[in-house]
Amino acid sequence: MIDARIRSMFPPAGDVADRVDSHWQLLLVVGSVVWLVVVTAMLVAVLRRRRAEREERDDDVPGDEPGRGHLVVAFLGGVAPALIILGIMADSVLTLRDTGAATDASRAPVVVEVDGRQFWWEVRYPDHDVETANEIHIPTGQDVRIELTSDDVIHSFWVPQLAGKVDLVPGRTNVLTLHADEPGTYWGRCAEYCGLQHAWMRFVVVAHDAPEYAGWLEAQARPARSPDRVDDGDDQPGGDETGGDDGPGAGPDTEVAAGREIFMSSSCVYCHTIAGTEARGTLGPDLTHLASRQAIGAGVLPNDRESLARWITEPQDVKPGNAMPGTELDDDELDALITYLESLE
Amino acid sequence: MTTTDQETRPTAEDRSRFEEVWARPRGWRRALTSVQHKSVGTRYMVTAAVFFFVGGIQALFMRVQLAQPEQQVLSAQTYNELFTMHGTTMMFLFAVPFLEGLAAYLLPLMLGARDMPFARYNTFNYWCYLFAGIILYSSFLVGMVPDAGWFAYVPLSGPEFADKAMDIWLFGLALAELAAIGAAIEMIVVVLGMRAPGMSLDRMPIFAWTMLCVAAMIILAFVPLLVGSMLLELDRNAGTAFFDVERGGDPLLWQHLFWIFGHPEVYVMFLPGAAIISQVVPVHSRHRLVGYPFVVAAVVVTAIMSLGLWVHHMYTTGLPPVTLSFFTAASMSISVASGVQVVAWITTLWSGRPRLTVPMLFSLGFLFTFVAGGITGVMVASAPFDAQAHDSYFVVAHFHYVLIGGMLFPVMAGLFHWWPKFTGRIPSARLGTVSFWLTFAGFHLTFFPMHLTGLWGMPRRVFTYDATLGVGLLNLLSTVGAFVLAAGFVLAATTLLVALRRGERSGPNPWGADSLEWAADSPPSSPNFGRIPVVGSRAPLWNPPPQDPELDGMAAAFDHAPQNVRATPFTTVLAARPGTAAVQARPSLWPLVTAGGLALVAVGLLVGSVWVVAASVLVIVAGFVAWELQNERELGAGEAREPVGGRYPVEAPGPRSPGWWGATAAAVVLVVAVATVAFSLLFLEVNAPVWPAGETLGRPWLSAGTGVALALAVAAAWWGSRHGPLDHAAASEARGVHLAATATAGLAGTAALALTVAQWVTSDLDPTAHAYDSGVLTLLGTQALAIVLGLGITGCAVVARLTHARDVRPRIMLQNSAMLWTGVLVVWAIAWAATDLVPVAVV
Amino acid sequence: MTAVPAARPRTVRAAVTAVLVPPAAWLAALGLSYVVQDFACSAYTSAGRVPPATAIGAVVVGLDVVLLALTLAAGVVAWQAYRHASTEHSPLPGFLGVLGMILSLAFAGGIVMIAVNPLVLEVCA
Repeated sequence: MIDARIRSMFPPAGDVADRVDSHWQLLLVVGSVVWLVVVTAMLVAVLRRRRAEREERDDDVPGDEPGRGHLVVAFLGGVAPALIILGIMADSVLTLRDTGAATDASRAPVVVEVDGRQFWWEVRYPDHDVETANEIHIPTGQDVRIELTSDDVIHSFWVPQLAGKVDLVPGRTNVLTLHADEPGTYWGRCAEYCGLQHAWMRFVVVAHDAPEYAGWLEAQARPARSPDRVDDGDDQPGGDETGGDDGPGAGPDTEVAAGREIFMSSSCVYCHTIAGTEARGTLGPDLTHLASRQAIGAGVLPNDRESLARWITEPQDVKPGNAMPGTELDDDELDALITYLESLE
Repeated sequence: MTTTDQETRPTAEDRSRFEEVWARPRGWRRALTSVQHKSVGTRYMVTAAVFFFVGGIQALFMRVQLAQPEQQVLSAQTYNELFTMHGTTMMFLFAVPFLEGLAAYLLPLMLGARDMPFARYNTFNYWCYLFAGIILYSSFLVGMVPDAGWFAYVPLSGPEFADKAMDIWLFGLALAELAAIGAAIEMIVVVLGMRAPGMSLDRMPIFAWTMLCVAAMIILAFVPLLVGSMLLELDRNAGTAFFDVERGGDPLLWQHLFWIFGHPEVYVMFLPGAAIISQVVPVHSRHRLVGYPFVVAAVVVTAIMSLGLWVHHMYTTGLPPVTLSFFTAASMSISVASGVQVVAWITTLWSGRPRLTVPMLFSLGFLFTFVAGGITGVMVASAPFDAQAHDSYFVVAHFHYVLIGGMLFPVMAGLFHWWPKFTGRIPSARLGTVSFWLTFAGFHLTFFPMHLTGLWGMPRRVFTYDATLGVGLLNLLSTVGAFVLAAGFVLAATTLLVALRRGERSGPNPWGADSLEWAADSPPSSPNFGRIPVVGSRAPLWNPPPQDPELDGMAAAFDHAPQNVRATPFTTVLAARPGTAAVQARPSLWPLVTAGGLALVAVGLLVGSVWVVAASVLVIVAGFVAWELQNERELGAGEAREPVGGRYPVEAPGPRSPGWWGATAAAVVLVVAVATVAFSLLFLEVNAPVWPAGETLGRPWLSAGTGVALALAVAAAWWGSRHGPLDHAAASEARGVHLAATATAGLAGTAALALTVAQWVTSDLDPTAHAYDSGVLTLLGTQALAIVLGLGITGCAVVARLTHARDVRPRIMLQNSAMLWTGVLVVWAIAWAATDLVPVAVV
Repeated sequence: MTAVPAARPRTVRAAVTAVLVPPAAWLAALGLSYVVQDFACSAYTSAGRVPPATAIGAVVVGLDVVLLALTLAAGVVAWQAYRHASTEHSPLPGFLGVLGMILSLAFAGGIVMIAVNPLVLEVCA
């Protein structure tokens, strides 16, 4: 559904994740060695005495506590683990110092506000008047300050390859710094159980190099293309791609206009915003540039005609418990509506 | 145990009268009225085992759903209900109650006592637990199954997002917690006061040390959850604002309260598991536990430090790094204590001659598994790594290693170890061995892959995942493993049940074990010990008994005696020197009636019927009155109860009898409860921009009046408790003083209650307006409840005075009520500080 | 084993105290460190003021040092109780003395691990 190959914390793709990764490697190596030593000691203790068992007599009196035993327990059980723990604790505190503190707004050139909703993510760029959903675009090589809030329940923001998770708690603004070294699509999701569709509350972080990022911001800041302005455009790649197998007759423009009409006259407008139109709802995701996104329904379906049709007509089948009601439309209306939505690049 | 020459042995007639007084009720009465620790312990364990299999079936359903990516076996709703109920069942209805049952069964036997100190209260706790389970599972009948997770984070569990299912969950939970707190009081008193003569603290079995520490943890940790669930219930149904940000509340308060309970809870499960290992490993290696004082210290350190780890469940909530790091320090320190225990067990194995019996196999399986779980525990204790692992399957793997490895494997070891004691039959070693290997292999096949599933990005509590996540194969392995694991447990249960009929007869001590329970018959007789054993070493059955006339004197006095009342020796706290005789309860219906009344209150609140609530309150009050009358009758109401053997008084004031400990523990529970509310308010206060929203309570005169009235109640009860002869035979001298004291305490308490109510009524506070107001109402309500309890025990003192001819019993009851009133006075002080002093003092 | 010789009550009392003090001190160290640091920082922040981080950190470390001294003192008392007990051949206070020493060392280590945090990390971040 979402085009992001790697979904685990390995390999790390940013300096925060890097630092945690080297801490993890220390934990893994030390932990494995300790476990092997303990289990070997246990097995040897059992097996070595198995041979001696043949000599056991019935009238054996169980051994008394040797004074040596106290020393073994004190040093192998107490002092040795304490030293290991001290080392791990030191590395943990240092890692925390390097990664834990949030970057100041003044030091982070990019600020993104992320608002967790049941069960999707509202994404805002306050400095650029851009609003989108379930996709966070960031420039590479820079600290991005993510400000996390929630108005409903507790969610948790997790992009494993870039950083650890931080919760979105009602009444608080939690801050997380993301830093991607390489361009790419990083997979993210809600990590705190937030209700029925917690499993399908996902997002992507798309890292671009600086010029591409600027271009993306600029495109997103524009209001939606309206059908009467479609003519002004020099080409219509969207129309070709998605409208190719449309029925004959209606041209793309008229169909887009018809779809727009259907959108504006239906209940869609109560919940969704399309900048530059009268649709100003805020309960659902902003659809101004819907067609530019990879997925719909916070990752539950890919963003194509077929999925949009399913999502519009039977959202409660696709993702039961999400806030969107199903809309009854005949086939023509649905086609037109989808064509309009697909024009919102 | 040897008998000295000069003492008279009990005659056959003595023996039969002794057996008669300890006779178990028959027929239907046995089911409803038996209060003996063995039947209560068995009931706990059987009920918990049933819930274990129910929770296990839920887990299997979840594993089927997750076997393949994007399966549709279960809906999201069903899956969420199942994981909620699986966690809730395993934690609240299986693990803790099972261990309480094991402790209820074993502690008196291990310590050389005849029953738990307050056997009826023990039974009451069991019924509360049973009703808690029934209430929780009635959610399936009414089709409102809780689905907010076993941790029930607000706001998801709050009024806005959760339906009545959550109320069912909260009431079930509250009853189960109440039962656990009661069980904790029982354990503290039995361990501190009812040890066999000579079993000084340094000779106590590790299991007893552990249950003592666990009981202290339960009191300090479960009370906050009980308070937390009460606050959430108020938010849900009375419109208070504890967790509502808009009105000065904070959802993180719930997480603090829940995890202040939740983390100690993990050790409440693990420490008894470790204690079972400390009992089993020495016996099956034929060597005393190496490093006993170190193991005791490790248990104490674990218990204490477990109280200071809770924030490591909240590493990702946005707390400042230094806060996280305090708790990282605590979380890591605690692992050293586990290291000490592990090395002690391995050194014991090394020094002894281990036999690969079924209990030993499960113990080795425990070590293998638990050490791995402990190491991943250190990993997730590190805040920066936890930010990655938190709420992923890595954590699921970690805590199943710790809980199944650290609690369930020891429980299996314990069951196979003590089954001969419980039933008199030895379970099949061959089937037991097969069941061990099935559970062991099934466990690791299920849970080892989950480490990887988590690291590769699969979060917890998702009903499905997509194929591109690349964890399909790992999940399939886990599912296969889950069925192998389940088969292992079914086989183990079958092995044990088959042994009931076909097992080889075991005799008292089939393993050649060292602790006192193996001196009793298998299965133990109703009084456990006709003659109470005396103890002179850590391994009383491996060493010759002590030659101590004082100890032998007590054993002789209690040799098939007394015969007119159930009683057991009560010894001193540190050295277990002979003290007094503790009367033990006979069968009774009243625990069932009162617990049933309490459950009915919950039902009444759930269906919203005032009438049901009112009727059940009447049932509760009537039940407690009948209970108290029965108590007094047994303590010899109307006649003198002679000292046992002419030397050991039946009850004495102060810490020489169980009642004093019970009253003190109850006072502590009250203080912990009100301190929790006060700290909650302080937490909200420092996090709220405005506190309070309007006026403070500001009724200093009424509040001071309450304090004075309570101080008067304390003073009156103390004064009364110091009058009258203690000798059982002396004629009553202080009847008037006692009546005056109870009347004064009762009137003062009533005045305090009236003043508390007046404080609320005359204020302009609105509990739905702001969290401060909600908090004031809750504090005053808690204070009122505490006063009602004080009045209740004062009422008991009146009953004692009116029914007894001698002075000693009313004196004791007055002393107990003085203890409780002191607790109520502290409650008042804390409540006053939190409502009026602190809001003025903080920034 | 013969009758237990009675230990001096003072030795027993000292040993019991030495057992009880270290756990209480550790709980106090963690509780106070957390409450002072977290609550003070939160109170200032939610009142819209800049918290005096250095002062808060100093208070936390100061409290921890006092509690550490108390814990170590309990260890010394336990050591003395242990020595008295071994000359008196009384196993119970001897055991309590050993227990007190172990607990003192363990909890002292725990307190140190808590106290270093404000020195390494920012107190009100």
